[in-house]
Amino acid sequence: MIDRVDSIVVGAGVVGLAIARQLALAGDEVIVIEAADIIGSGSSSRNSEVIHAGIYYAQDSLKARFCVSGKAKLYEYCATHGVGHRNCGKLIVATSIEELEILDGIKAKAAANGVDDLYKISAGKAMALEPALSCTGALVSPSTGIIDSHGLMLAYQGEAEDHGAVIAFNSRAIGGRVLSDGIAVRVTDNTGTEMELACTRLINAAGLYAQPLARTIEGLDPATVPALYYCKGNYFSLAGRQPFSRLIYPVPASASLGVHLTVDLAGQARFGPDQQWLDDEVVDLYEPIDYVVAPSRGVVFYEAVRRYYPALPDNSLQPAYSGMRAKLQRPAGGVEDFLIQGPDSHGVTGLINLYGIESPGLTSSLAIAEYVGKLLSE
Amino acid sequence: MRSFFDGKRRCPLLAVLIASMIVLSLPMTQAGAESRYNDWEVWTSAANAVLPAKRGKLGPFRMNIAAGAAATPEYLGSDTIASKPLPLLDVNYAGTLFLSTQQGVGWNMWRKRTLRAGPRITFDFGRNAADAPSLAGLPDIELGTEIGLFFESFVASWRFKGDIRKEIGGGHGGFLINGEAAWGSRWSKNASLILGMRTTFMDDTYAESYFGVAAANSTAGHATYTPTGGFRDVNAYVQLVYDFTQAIYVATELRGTTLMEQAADSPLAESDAFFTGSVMVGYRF
Repeated sequence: MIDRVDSIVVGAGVVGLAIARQLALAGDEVIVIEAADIIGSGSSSRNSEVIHAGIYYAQDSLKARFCVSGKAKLYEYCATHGVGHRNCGKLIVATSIEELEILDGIKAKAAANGVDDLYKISAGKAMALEPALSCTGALVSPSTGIIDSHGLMLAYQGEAEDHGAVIAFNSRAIGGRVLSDGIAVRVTDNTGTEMELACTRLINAAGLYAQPLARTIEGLDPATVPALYYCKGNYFSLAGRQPFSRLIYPVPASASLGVHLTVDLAGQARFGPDQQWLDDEVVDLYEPIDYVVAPSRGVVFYEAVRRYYPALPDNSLQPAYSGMRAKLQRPAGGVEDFLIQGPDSHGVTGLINLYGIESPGLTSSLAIAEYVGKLLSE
Repeated sequence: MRSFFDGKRRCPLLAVLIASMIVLSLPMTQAGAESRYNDWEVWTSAANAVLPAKRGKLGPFRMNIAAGAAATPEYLGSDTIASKPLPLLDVNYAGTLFLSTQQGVGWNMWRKRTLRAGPRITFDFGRNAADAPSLAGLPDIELGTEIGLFFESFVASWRFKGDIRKEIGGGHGGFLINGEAAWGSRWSKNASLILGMRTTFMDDTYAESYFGVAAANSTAGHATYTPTGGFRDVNAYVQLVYDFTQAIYVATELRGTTLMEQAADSPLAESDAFFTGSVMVGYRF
């Protein structure tokens, strides 16, 4: 006889915690299984901490829908729950005549997603707003902001726990099997002790480990599990005082939004992330990820940043931190959407797998949680 | 001017002032928050500032027992103020050996009327990442044992203190040098006023332990940071000690601290300037 709860959420990242909160608020008995000893130690704490407007994503994609609705929910949540944030706005800057046309495309794409507050400004106006900037024109995104991601996760955690959810730290989900009346999850702790826990609903929000975990679930068709590609993003911080008051983004690259400038709530500027594709599925469930930022990558940063910030001083960039993107997109492939599989996709009642939850996952967290809640109640 | 040590008197006005400081200090604290005892010796120094006026009744033993509370940052650099109970037990044997919850275990190897110096063992209580949300993801710093040398000398109304300590027991692993100068005077029959300044120098290892962020632990909230040694902080303080009797006293302190150089630049330093306050009631015999 194994212990049983209503819902198990694997992963105490921002999305896992948002889902745990959603389920706990709905009255479920929830256990969150987290391999680390703290919340949000993976991608959730290794990103740009930006509240995205929902500009770049394909129309009607989950990314577009969740980002736009999640942004509104997130601003309201931060305001009502005391989570640090600032609606500072951002400039998307063109640095050549050719890129000016791309700005038009971005504006149209944003409008198609329901983000209709973008407006184009001339180079002169952009540089009047941000005197350190060099560009040929810019789009202003007034609804973009920054957020204290750890504070957000603490708020989700607090609300979930207030409604009975329990977070089991130092507990790694290493397998599962489909039962006649639910799903059993095999969990191991730091000492290697294993146990099995059954649930009616299993939400796999393991982020970088979502695919490896899904493949261990006996009774789930492995063909439904998509390939996973890891793309590391490195950040460099700017030593000394930074001259910008808004976030500065170049026009986006193929797999990321480009080496952009963001500012944290303390006013510290950082640049990144770049794209460093790793070999397929190199992340071992039991091996720590290498988050070291190679100083040598700074050379590329200087070049990228100086396209819009030519006065960037020599030797002013310092390796800051890195994060790992869980991508469904091949290195040379097109942009992929979030993939959230419920019973309709894989045939297992009560199982939700969340794949490819990269940017804008933080902004989308509340919207994703609401969506998962609906999937489970259908 | 009366010397730093003698006298024992009374001053209702000062008692009111001290009581006010107690009352004012309490709202600063945030229930539930915790901070470690790494600056225990500093926070309780008011209770050790004025020595007993005469030899105690326990033969060669002198005792100083006190209890109180401090309002301090959760950790050095935190902008969250936490409350902390402050127990104190000082046992001094024949002026030669001491065993103290604050000052460690030591030997006054060189002891003259205005000077004491010698070796001692102290403890660093480390830092637990669970102590503060802003430390999330950082490794804990374990309890450490420090060996070192200290001196304390008195020149008229001035007191000079210094020590060097090296951690050897699995904690921060570094060494620290502390220097302090204070001026004290009997303000009235029962009240002593002490004004002082203190600074701490840290080595690279200590700086990395307490203020560094390794690449593996770096996140959006904590960028990689590799500090080097240098001055950790400078602080100035005012202490008021009121003797109700020759044995019973209340000691209060208000201290302003500024983190320096590499410590102030750390991503863990949410605030590089802060105040601490403490109040203790004690019994010396």
